[in-house]
Amino acid sequence: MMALAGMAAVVVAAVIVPVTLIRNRGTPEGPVYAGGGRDISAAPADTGVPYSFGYLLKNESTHPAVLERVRLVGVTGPLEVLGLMARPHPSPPARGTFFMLPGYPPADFPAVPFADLHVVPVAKTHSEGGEPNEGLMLIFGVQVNAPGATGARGIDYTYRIGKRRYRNVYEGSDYLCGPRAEYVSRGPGQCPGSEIENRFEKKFVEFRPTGRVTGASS
Amino acid sequence: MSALSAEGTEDPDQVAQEHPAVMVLSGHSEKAFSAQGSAPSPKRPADPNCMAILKSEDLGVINTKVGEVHLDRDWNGFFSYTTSRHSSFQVGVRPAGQGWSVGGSTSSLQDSQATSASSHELAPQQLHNFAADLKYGRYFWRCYGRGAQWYDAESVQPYTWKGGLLPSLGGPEPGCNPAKMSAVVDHGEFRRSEKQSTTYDNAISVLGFSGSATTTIAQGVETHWYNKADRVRYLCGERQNIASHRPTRIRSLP
Repeated sequence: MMALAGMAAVVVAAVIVPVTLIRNRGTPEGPVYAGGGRDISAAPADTGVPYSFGYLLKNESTHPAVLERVRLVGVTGPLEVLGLMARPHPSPPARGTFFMLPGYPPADFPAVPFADLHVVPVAKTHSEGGEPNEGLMLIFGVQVNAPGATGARGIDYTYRIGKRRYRNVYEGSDYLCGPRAEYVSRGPGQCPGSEIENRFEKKFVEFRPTGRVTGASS
Repeated sequence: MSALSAEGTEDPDQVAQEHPAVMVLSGHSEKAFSAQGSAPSPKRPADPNCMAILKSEDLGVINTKVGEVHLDRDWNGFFSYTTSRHSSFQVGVRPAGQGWSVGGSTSSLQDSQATSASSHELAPQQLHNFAADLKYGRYFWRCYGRGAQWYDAESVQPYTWKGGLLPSLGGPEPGCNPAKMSAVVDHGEFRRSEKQSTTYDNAISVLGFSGSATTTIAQGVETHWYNKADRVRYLCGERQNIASHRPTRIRSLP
């Protein structure tokens, strides 16, 4: 009986473990996350004007997490990625967070280059539901360079806590549609539109503390 | 279904694990019931000590809140609910002669495959509520405790969704934790999509049992907010950030 139970455990492990790890190609997700599941932000945007996509990273471990690589993935349409900055969260003058705002960085969310700030701190306090109140906000600068709908599927990031490396993804999708006046006149729900929603290209833009890389995922 | 709990609260993480994106509902008034024959047996007892169902009663339809959209002025919104598979409803259980407690939760409702959605432009300055027309059953159990002593218990829980989604207005508005505010650009949209949840306290009120319903936002369940003003405004989580995997209600700010 024991042997059968052992075999069953091996079979279960052989099936479950690869399924669990395949998403991140064998690297565990770890305790740093940017949100839960999937959400979507969309807005009409002026072309040729910088905007920001914001992602708040939180750390549920007891040690700081050092970001080694951050990708904005699924960059779709005429969307230029200008750069990546970061800011401690929370920090004045803004009280909360954002998913997308005009400006890079937005006026109420001053930030520094990612090369200068890429550590997700340990939370000092937690919310009523147990969520860390402190974190690191990543701010991608983007710009719509031609009329149409653009977007990004989310972020993919690799980090280290101590000697251990982790990789996680977050499908917080952002869409910007230009020209702004045209999409405003169409009314709510018309950006991004069915022709682009959830149809992301494989292009990504990768940032490391040492520089940036543009590529296409397999 | 999770194990019997002596307390009326659930661990949000446990609920989230059962259904990564769930909405929890509460606050419905108690209704009168009449037995309408037997109800289908649940897959598992609310109390793990209970082995056999002695009797069941069909309590009929009880409208149970599964969603809400809070819209201040110049906000529009939208809610769709096409499957109950991503909702988690607390199960009430009470040993004979004692009071009700939460006996875990169930999400294994028979589903109707219905498509139920609100208008695409819900009116501003309202709290829009959405209740699913769930059929509930009442079950009488024979249970075995310490020393092989038996006792009787009863439980109440929904067993199927008929496919309807009933709108209503008003009720207690979501709170706002100022640290959980998120800016929404002018004429922008925010959409809770998958694995994000909201908990509504007291969504279930039946035979004196008051429980919550947790609906996970998942494929087939979505909540949208549109900021129709010409300036940046905020959505605010009552307990968590609005993109958190942990349950939270969301308030739109003027």
